[in-house]
Amino acid sequence: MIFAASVVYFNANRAGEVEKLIASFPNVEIYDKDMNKGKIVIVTEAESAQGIEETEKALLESDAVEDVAHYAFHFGEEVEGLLNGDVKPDINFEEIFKKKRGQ
Amino acid sequence: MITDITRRNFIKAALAAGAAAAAGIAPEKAGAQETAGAAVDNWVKGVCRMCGTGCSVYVGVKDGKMVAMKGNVDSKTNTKGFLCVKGMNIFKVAYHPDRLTTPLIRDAKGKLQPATWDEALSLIEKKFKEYHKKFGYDSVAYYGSGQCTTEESYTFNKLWKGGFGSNMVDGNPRLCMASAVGAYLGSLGSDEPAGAYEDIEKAKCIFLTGSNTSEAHPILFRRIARYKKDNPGVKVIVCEPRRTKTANIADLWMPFKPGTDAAIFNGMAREIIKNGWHDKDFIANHSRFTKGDGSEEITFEEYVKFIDKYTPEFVESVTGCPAAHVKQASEIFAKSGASLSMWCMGLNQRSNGVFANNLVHNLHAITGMFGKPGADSFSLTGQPNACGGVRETGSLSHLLPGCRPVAAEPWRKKVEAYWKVSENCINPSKAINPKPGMHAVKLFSSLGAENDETKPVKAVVISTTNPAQSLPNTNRFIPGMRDAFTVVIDIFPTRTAQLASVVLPAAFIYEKGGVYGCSERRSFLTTKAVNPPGEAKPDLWIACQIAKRMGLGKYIQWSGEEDISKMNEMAWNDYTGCTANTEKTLKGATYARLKKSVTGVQWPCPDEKHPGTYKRYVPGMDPIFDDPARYGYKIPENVKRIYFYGRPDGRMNVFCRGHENTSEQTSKEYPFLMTTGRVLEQWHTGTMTMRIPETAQAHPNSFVEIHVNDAKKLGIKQGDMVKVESVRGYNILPARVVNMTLEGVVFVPMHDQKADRMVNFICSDVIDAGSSEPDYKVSAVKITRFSGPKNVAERYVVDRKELDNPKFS
Ligand code: SF4
Repeated sequence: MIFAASVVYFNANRAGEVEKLIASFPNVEIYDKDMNKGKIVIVTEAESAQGIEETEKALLESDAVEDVAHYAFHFGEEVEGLLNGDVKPDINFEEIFKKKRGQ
Repeated sequence: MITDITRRNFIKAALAAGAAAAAGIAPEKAGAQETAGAAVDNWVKGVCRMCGTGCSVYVGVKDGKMVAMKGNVDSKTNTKGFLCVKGMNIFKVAYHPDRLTTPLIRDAKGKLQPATWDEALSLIEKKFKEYHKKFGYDSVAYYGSGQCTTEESYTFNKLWKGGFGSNMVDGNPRLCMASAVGAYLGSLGSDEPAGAYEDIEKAKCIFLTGSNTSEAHPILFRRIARYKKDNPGVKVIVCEPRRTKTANIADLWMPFKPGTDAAIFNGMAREIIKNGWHDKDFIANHSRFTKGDGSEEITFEEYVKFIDKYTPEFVESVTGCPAAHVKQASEIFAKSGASLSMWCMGLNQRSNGVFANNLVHNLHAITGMFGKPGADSFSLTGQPNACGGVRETGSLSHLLPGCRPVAAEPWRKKVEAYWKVSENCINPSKAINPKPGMHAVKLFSSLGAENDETKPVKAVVISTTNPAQSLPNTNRFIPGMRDAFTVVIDIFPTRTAQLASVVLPAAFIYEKGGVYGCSERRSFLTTKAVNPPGEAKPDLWIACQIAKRMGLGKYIQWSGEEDISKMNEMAWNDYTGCTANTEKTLKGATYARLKKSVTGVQWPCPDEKHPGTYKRYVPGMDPIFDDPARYGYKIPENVKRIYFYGRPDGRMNVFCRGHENTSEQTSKEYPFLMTTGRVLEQWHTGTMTMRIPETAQAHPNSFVEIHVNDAKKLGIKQGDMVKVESVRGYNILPARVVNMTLEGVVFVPMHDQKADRMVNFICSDVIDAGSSEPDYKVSAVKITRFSGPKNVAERYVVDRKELDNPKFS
C-alpha cells in the first residue's frame, strides 16, 4: 500500500462542491483544510503509484479543482515486498528474453 | 501493541501534517504534528535523482531502508516542497531486483562472469598501464555524466587531467548542454545563467523556447503555470514546433519548422528595434555589436542593417511561424518590463545550437532584459548535476575546474600548482596538457581495438550514462565500444554494459550522498541515507581505487579514506579550494554549511557569511564586485546597472548570426523532419524509468507522432506500424496520429531500449561547429506504412542475461 499526502487547490467559491467530490473517493481522506483560501490536504491510499495518479486525474476532471500537488509518499510496505520477493515488478524478463532469442 | 490500522493512521497523519505545513494550513487533527516521526526512523535530506529541476526532498528511512519521500518545504527550487510522479517512484529504482551487485568481467567466450573487486580493479590497472606505455596517455579516456555527483566528476577530472596528464575526459553534458556553455561564454563572457528560478515569480513575460517544460521539468512548469494562473496579466509565449502541453498555458504559440528558429529570433530583434521598443541606455552602455566570431566590433547601425531582411513576412516564409505572431511576440517581450527566456534541448541539441543560444541572448541585450528582477536569459539543464558536476568542475575535454578553457595558460598554471601536478603526474610531461582532448562524438569514433591502427583510443571508463543508446547515429559507435577495453559503472544492465569488458556495480545517490548543482547555480548536499546492495560501490570509491593502483593515491588524498561521507567532504573541499578565486566560487558553501542548509547555496559564494547570489553581474548583488582582482577581473569604479566582468570591456556581445540552416535537409527521398525528446513519465534511455511499472506502463514503447494530414496521405491509421528511416538506420514504430505537430514534422521519444525502436539509430550525427553538440532535433526521414497495429507494449529492458548477447535485440 502506498500513501500520498497532497494538497488540492480549488476555486474557493465552490468549496462545498469540492469537499463533497473528495469525500466520494473511498480511498481518499481529508485531513486539513482552508476553505477560504481554496486548499484541502488529503491522503490517498492506493495499491500502487498508478492508483494515486488515477485519483489525481479524476479529481482534476472537475473544473472547480485547480491543482493536485503531491507533497509526500510512504511506500514502506511495497519496499518490504520488493525486498522479500513478495512483490515483483510486473515485467516478465524471462518471456522477453525468450522472444529475443527467437528473432 | 501497535496494530496495523494504528500504524497506518500514524503514517497518514504524519504525511498530512507535513503537507498542511507546506500549504500554510495549521493542522486540524490534534496530535498530527506529534505523530510526524512515527512513519520513519529519520528523514534524510537530499535532491531528486531524476531531472534538472533539482527538487529538494527528504528520504524517510526505517530499519535501514528507504520507505518514504517527501518534499522540502523550505526548498527554493520546488517551492512549497511539491514533487512529481517521477520523483516519488525513485525507491523502486533503488530496490529493483535488476540492480547490479557484483563486478563482472567478460571472459574469452564473451560472457560476463562475476568477479571480486580486486580482480576487476587489477584488470583495469593492468590494461591502463599497458595502454599508457604502448599507445600514450591519451589512449585511455573517461566519459562521465551530469548524474554523477560533483565530488565524483571533480575526482575523475583531477585524476585524468593532472594525474595522467591527459584531457581525454568528456561527458554526456556534451550531448545536452555544450551549446549553452559556448553561448554563455561568447555572449556574456562566463558560463551559466545570471538569474535564478525566483525570476519566474517576478517576470511579466515568460518566453519558453525549445523546451517542452511541462514534460521535461514538471515541477518548474507547475511553478510557471501557478504563477500565470494567479497573475493572468503575465504573458507566456511558447515557441516550439509541436503544440505540447506546455503551450496549453501560453498566450501565444509560435510554431516553426525544426531548425529554423534563428530567423524568428532575428525577426523579433528587427521588429523590436524598428518600433523603437529597444533599451537605448542598455545598448549604449552594456552591449557590444559584433560580427563573425565576436572579435570584430561593428556599429549598432550595421547590426540593424544585418537583421533588416528578417521582416515578419520573411520569417514566416522561412519558418512557417505566422508573421502576426512574430510581431505580437516582439511587442510582448520588449514592453513587458521584465522578460524571462527559458530554453532547453530544443536550442542546444542543434547544428547551430550556439548561434541559436546567442540569438536569444541578443534579444535580452537589445531590450535591457538583464540584471533586474524577472528579466533573464536562462538555460534549463536536463540532468540533475550537469551544471554543478560537469560545467563547474570543468569535466569536459576542453575545460578545467571553474569552467575555464584548458588552453588558457594562466588558469592552467594555477590549477597545475593547486593540484601539485609537477610532483604527482605519472605522465613524464608533469603538466596538464594545453591541448583539449576529444569531445564525445570524436572520442567514441576514435575508440577501438588494440590492434586497430585507425583507432587511437583503446580504453574508456563510462560512468552513469549509456552512450550505446544515447549517441546519435549509434551504429557508428557500437563496434568501437565493443572492441575497446570498455569499463562501465552503472546500477543496472544497459546497452553500453552489453558492450563492456568490465562492468562495475554502482551505488545509487541515496546510498552514497554527494552534491548536485541544478540549473540555477544552486548546490545542494544529499546525505547518505542507506547502504548500497551487495557489492555495489560509490563511483568516488571506484575513482580512488583506480588512482591508488595507478600510483596516484597521495595525489587523490581522499583515496586513503574508507568512509564515503568523509571522502565526499574531502573531495568537495579540494574542489571548492581549487575554484575559490573564480566566479564559480563555492568556498563559503562548506560541508558543515551544506549539511545544515535546507536551501543549498548559489554561487558565487566566497565565504561562509555570504548568503549566495541570486543575480550575477549586478553591483550590490554579485560579490565579484567586492574584490574583482581576486577573481582575475578588472571592474571600473561606479558601475551603475550591470557589468559583464567576464568580457574584457564589461559589455555583452550581440552577434550577427544568420538563419543558415546547417541541419540535415529534407529531400525527395527523405521528405520529413524528425525531432526527438522526452515524455513526462520517462527519463533519458529509460534504464530507471522503464523499471518502474507505473512509468513504464505510461509509455511502454516508443512511437512516432505524425500529423493527421500526412498520415492520411501515406495511408497510415492510428496504431499502424510505421517505418521511420534515415540514411543511417530505421525504427519500426506504432503511429500516433495527431494534429498538434506541424505537417512534415514527426516526433519520436528517446527512452525505448528495444533495438528496432532505439531512435538514435536514425538520428543525425551532425555536430555544432562551436560546441560539438550533436543535432538530435533535426533529422531528415522517410515514413512508410509497415503493417497494421501490433502490440509492442512489452516494456523492454536490457536485463542481466542480455549482457552476454553480442547483438542488440
Ligand atoms: S520535477 Fe524533476 S527533480 Fe522535481 S520531482 Fe519531478 S523529476 Fe524530480
